[in-house]
Amino acid sequence: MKNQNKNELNYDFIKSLVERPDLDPDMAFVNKLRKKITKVNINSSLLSRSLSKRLKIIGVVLMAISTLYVLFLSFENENPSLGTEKVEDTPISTIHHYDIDDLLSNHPSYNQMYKEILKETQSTKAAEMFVLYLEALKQGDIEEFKKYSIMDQDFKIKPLIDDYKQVDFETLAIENMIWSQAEPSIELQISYQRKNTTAEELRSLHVHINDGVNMDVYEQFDWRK
Amino acid sequence: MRSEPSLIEELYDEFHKDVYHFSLYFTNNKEEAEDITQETFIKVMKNLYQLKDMSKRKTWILSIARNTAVDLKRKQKLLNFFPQILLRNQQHSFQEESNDKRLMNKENWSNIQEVLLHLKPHYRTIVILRALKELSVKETAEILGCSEAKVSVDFHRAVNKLRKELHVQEGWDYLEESK
Repeated sequence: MKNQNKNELNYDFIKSLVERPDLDPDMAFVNKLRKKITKVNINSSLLSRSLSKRLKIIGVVLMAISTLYVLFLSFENENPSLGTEKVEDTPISTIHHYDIDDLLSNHPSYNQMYKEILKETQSTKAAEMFVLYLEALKQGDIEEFKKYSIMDQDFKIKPLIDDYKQVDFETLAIENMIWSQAEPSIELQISYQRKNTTAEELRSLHVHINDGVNMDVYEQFDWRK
Repeated sequence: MRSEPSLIEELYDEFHKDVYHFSLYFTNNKEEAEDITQETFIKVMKNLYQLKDMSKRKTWILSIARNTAVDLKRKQKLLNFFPQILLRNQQHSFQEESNDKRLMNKENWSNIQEVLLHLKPHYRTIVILRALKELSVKETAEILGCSEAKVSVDFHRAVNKLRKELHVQEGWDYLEESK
């Protein structure tokens, strides 16, 4: 039996290496590298997003110029019917306006959350942006939403907006604010009721305050639902 | 489809220990293992778009770690102007430590680690992946970019080489018999 075992590949003796005392990395190193990865990744993601935004803006400007040119030509040719049709095609009606003062004075829930975030973060901009983030969700305005969220893919944003359509925004309230160890990120636990219900629900939003002033929101949401 | 920020964090959470373990076994040096781990995940982040098949994420990341470790050792070899002196010092302290441990008969991992370091990088990698990280032959072949047959053959050779080296060293027979 002993001889037979000797012919087999027995490598159990190597396994004692698994028991070496310093096998796992230092937690300080693990956390530091995680922070670094998160930071580098967010920065590169923001950079690519800002580039794509710029391209979109250029596209919109070019479209506007060409529309105006067509309009101008139509007037030149004394053909007002063509001009009228083109005016109807312009996307002016889809532009939303977000006046933070109006939002805060007309919506007590926004106002309360604004005050609490301001108190916690000492950042007026961050508090305003959080309210605008919620308002963008309420209005279903994907482009506005992207200004404040890390999420930038439409197919993921749409289900989130659909979910928020059922939320009674006047019942929104901050239940808890937890600073992460990887400051400056803060987890906001908010409560709310869905329309026509009284049951309270909770959800968590992670707010990353980029430069001590501006912020991005990350909301974990299963868009596959 | 998941957005990249959360994907890279998930990959890091899932595999940072595997990468660190591999690097530590490969170098037996904590600082170098940390350097390799850091460089590996920076490379992972930059090349994430190349990861098409999520089921192969582990082998993909470990292949990056392996290449990073091999590159680091290669660079060190080029930069090291006093290899003998450094090696002698390193071996001396290591030998001292492992002799002590052997004499105390408490643990023999440092002895095996020392011999593992003397295997050529290819054999060392196979031993780490197959015996210590318990990867399959198929996974190991994916990481090394070679056939499964070659992995099996080379693993046999590497284990036999390790065993032979250990038998040569004083005290090993005693340790094996005492098991």
